[in-house]
Amino acid sequence: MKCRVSIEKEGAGAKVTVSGVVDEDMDFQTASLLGYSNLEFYLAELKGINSCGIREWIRWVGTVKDRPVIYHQCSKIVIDQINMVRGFLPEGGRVASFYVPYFNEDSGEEKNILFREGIEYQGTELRPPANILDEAGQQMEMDVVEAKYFKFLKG
Amino acid sequence: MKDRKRKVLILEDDTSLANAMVSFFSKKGIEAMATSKPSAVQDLLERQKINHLFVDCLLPAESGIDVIKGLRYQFPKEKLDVILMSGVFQDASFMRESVRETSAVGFLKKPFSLDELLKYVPIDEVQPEVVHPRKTLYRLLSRSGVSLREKKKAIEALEDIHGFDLPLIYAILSEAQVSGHLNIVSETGDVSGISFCNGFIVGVDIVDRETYLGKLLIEAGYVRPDDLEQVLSLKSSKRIGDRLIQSNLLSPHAFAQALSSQMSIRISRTLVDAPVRLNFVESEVDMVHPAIDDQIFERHLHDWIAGKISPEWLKAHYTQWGHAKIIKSIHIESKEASLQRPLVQKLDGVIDVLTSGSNIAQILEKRSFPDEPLLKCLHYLLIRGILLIDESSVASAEDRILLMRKMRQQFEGRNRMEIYDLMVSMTNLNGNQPDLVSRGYQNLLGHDANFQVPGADELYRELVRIGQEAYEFAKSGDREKMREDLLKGEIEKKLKATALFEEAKLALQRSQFKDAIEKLGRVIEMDPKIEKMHMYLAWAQIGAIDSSRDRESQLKEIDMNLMQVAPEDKFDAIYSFVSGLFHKAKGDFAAAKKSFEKAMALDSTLIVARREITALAGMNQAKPDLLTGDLKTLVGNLFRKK
Repeated sequence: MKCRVSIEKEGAGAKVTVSGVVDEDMDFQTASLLGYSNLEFYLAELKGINSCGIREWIRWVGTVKDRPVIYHQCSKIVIDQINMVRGFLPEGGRVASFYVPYFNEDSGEEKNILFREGIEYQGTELRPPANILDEAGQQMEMDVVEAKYFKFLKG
Repeated sequence: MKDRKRKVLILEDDTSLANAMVSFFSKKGIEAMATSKPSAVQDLLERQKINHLFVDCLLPAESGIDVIKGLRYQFPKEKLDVILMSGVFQDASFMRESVRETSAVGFLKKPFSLDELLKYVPIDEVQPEVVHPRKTLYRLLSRSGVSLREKKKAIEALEDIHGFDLPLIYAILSEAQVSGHLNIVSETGDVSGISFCNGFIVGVDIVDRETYLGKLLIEAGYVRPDDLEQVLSLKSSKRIGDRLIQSNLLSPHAFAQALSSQMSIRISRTLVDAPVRLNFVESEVDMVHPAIDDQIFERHLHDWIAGKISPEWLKAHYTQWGHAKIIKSIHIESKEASLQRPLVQKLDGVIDVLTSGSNIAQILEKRSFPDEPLLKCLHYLLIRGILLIDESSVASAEDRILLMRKMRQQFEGRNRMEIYDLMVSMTNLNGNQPDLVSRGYQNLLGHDANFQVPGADELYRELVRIGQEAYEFAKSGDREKMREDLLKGEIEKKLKATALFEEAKLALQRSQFKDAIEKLGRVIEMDPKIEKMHMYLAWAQIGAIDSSRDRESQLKEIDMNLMQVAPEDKFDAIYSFVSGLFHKAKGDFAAAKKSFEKAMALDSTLIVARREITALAGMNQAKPDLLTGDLKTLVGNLFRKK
């Protein structure tokens, strides 16, 4: 699934949507981030990334330097990289929303629940939704190691 | 109940309740398991050393009460706490009677709150075992039939691990036939990765992009050095392989083989003796060729373990399982190829020794085999799923004393930083959390010191003190800064070791083998991690073969050293040369000549290889064999003046 980047100007800033798989074939030089006062990345459709992709991403977002950067709708793939690799979220950048996988052991059903800043979390404080139910109405549990997954919230 | 580690078994046919109870206990740090089969209970009680049994009174095939009554002779109330559960039979007289008949300690009326379980398995008396995700990962080696989800979750839970943990992770992903990208970050922030397609390794990306292709092609005999040089000298944007194929100097098949070997070397380079972090991104990945399939992977896994993982790391790693026994997996028959690998074949009877019923510490103590190859063999067989760790054994006082002696040996001559790193390896915990490491270390040592064996109490106290000092060092400030400071002190030692290593190499060139062996021994003491040691040691040992000693055992030792050369070093001209010497020592002159020629192809300036080729040529021109020689020559030789 080829990686696609679309940049839409929004006032002095830009909305950057990234979809597909970020790998060695992605040429970020065709998607310059220069010239915008702030950048908001929408990452729900980022489906995969390999080590080459991580290095290219860091180089790409590194061009943002001191401008505000916000990541929206981060998939688990993105959160895992933010937690593991310095520079994946630029210095001073913020995550405004991200997905948390939920799972029910009995039904095997999986769901991704969007956690939004100010609602499901504020700063380092988590306020997860009370009842996440599967199709059969059974309770679903967070399917992550919480101490590890939410580490990025501690900065 | 005696003060012993808590272990819970649940006999319940309602799987959602059983799973909820297991999960509840696990979160409280209490080991728990469940079964719906009464027939499985006795075996589990025996093997797993269970001390709390929760039983549903109404089971499909038989009454839970009858199950307990049948077990009580072997498991009296002093040994086993039984707690009955029922949603149907709840009148007071039934409860009273069933508790009396089964000598149960309690009766839970369903539905009940999970917190009620703690009335019967109190956690305030328990020092919960600290289980790091790394240990959970290795615990997969004690079970067969682990689900794919459990394997993926075990990898997902990992944060900081060690580079030497990677072979296990690669094996899990390969065997699970998953597709996706394993991203690995080093201490210095370098990102590398391995790509999988249905369990096949299809891509290896490391930061150091050195290509071994040229050496690989020459070493394998696919291409001659001058042909390669000629092709490289031509200006072209094409890849080297394409150029060689186009020039009809190389077949596509041979090139694919070389690329596969290059992938293996690059994977070998990821196995660093340092902490790393990783995550696995599951996604569709295209199949490409060449790819490393299960057969090739299995061979490379053997070579990575034999050549890359340090014995120090293995000794520390298996310390925590010193009390555990090793058992054969049901899959042993289907993995015959793995049993033919050198690590297994060169240690005659190793599987019988490992599965003899002694625990790991006892096996190492017996010294049936040298520690280094034995631990590597064990590690390989465990990762391949041919053997399993049986954690059900409880450490006796003797086991604890043996363990403590092993730990003390490992700490000998180490500085505080190294001791702390060893503690991290021994406990399989996160080195960035000294409190956890300290607690895990204390759990490993045990919490009481009343051994009734002379010297054991003192040893225990000494180990507590050593651990405390290392813990305080780790907590005291910036460990990395201290690592640098300590390393500065170590640098002089390492420089001396390097200089001495060069002297040893010179001695080898001059055929001063005994001198070389003495120097290499000192180098190992100063810097056990110095690269390529096995290769040069083998060279010295071949040269110093003592005809008054058993030749076979000397050759065996040399063979063991050669087996432990790192995969990427096997494309070194010196390795080919030393292999040639080894073949020559075994009397296989044809193979020796081939190896010397390979060495020359890789490095035309290697005088020692040239000398050997000349010597072999001279041997071939020796007097012809009487039975097969030319008659004229034979007669001429007979009458030639001396």
